[in-house]
Amino acid sequence: MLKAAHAALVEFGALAPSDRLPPFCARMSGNLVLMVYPKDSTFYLVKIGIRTSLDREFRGLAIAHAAMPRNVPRPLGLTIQGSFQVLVTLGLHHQPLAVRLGRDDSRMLEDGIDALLAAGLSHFQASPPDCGVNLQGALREASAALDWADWRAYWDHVRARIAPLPRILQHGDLAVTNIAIADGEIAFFDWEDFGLVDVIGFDLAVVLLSLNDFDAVRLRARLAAPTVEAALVRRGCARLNLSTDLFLELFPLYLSLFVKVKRSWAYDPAVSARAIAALRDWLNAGPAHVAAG
Amino acid sequence: MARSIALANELHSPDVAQDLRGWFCRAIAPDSACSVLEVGEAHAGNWFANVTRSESALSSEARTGSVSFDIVVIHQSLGGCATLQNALTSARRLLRQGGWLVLSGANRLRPPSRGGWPSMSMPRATGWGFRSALKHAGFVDVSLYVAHPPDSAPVYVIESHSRSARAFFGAQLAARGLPNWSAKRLLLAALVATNVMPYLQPGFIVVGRRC
Repeated sequence: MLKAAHAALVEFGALAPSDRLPPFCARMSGNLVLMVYPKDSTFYLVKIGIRTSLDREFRGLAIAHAAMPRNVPRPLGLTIQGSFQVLVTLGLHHQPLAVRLGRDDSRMLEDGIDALLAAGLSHFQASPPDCGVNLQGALREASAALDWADWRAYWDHVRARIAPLPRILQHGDLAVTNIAIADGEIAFFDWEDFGLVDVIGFDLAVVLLSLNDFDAVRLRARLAAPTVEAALVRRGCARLNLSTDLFLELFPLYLSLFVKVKRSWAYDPAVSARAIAALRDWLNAGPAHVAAG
Repeated sequence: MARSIALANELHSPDVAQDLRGWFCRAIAPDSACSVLEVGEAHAGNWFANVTRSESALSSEARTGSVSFDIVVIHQSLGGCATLQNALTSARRLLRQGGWLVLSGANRLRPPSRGGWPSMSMPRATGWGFRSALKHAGFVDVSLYVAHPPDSAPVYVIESHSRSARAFFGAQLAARGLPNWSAKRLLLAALVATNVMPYLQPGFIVVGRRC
């Protein structure tokens, strides 16, 4: 694997053939990722596709970096080394987002999410060959997990409402752990799930859920108060030209899609279990509200 | 709306998808057919695909050098030897020319954990000590790593070199969100800046190649 990483770095001009592989950290969950640190301040992420194809992530990074070069790491290329795909990305020095850690980065988060949504509208339109997760199938699967008898009626209702909406390829895993601050701006990482979902508003929903550890009860309470969550919804919905009522109506669909993606991609089952619990709480709580600005 | 995606098509074959062995296997094992001897607690199966043989101690047969392996993994054990240097010398005899030794041991700078391995059978040294011991035993390309979390199934393996270790532990410190002027943050920041952090971890993995 180190040979594959070295060969990929040489291929993309990051190393000379005679250079040794610089010091690295390896992350071994999911696909193998080496964070490689040459002598200067530059560093590289070398991802080796031992578990999943890297085509989707490369495409997402390429499209997103073109749209938001300061906010998305630059992909240097995707290559085949031995029997594995190797994706090399230029590292982006960053600090963790601290919306809930005392330092209040909420305004920066609002701006960053707004910029991502705007970039999505202009650059991430789904085209016919793009295949999203089957919406009805996702709802059916989620309903089986929590004994949701009315899911068909819900589907009939929302199907008509989302039909006229533009289909926009979503980041797919916009958890706060995949958002950071780089050079004074919000940066977005981990594009592995790019385009699996193309229902507008999905990324915004995942951010909100992630900010609240997928606790739907807490999220609803915060949406009803003057909080960063409420501000994100108001501004995000305005950007997407989506009413806040419709956005909230679509929440069960968003959660079902999240469950489907996480289950299909062999994520830790605890992740989808938390989303199922959030879906149950959301459905049991009735209509949600967003505080006025 | 009858759009669907065959997500499974984007996954590789099941044997690769199920292969949870980590960096050790992927980086060190030259190929899937290499022969691996594990000595000590049976964790090497989590690390390497082809554990040819598992022993609780370096056997007399092994000590005579009548067999040879591509990789010898000594996991938290001295392999029945009295000292670390004896264990390394015995392990060297077991390796083919160019074969790799992987040794995991405890940090002498940290007190042994209660209920853990008896201190007599556990290799214990500082990070600098492990590296030096391998060099003295005739290994080259010696690298020192720390695992995080420090157990048999780490998520991260960090090379102790200042560039990689500072990046990792610096990010870890930033993620803790400690107040800028807290004594704890300042102390940890100093340890990160001077690259002492890896040498304070509970255990090490030291890797060397038989020349």
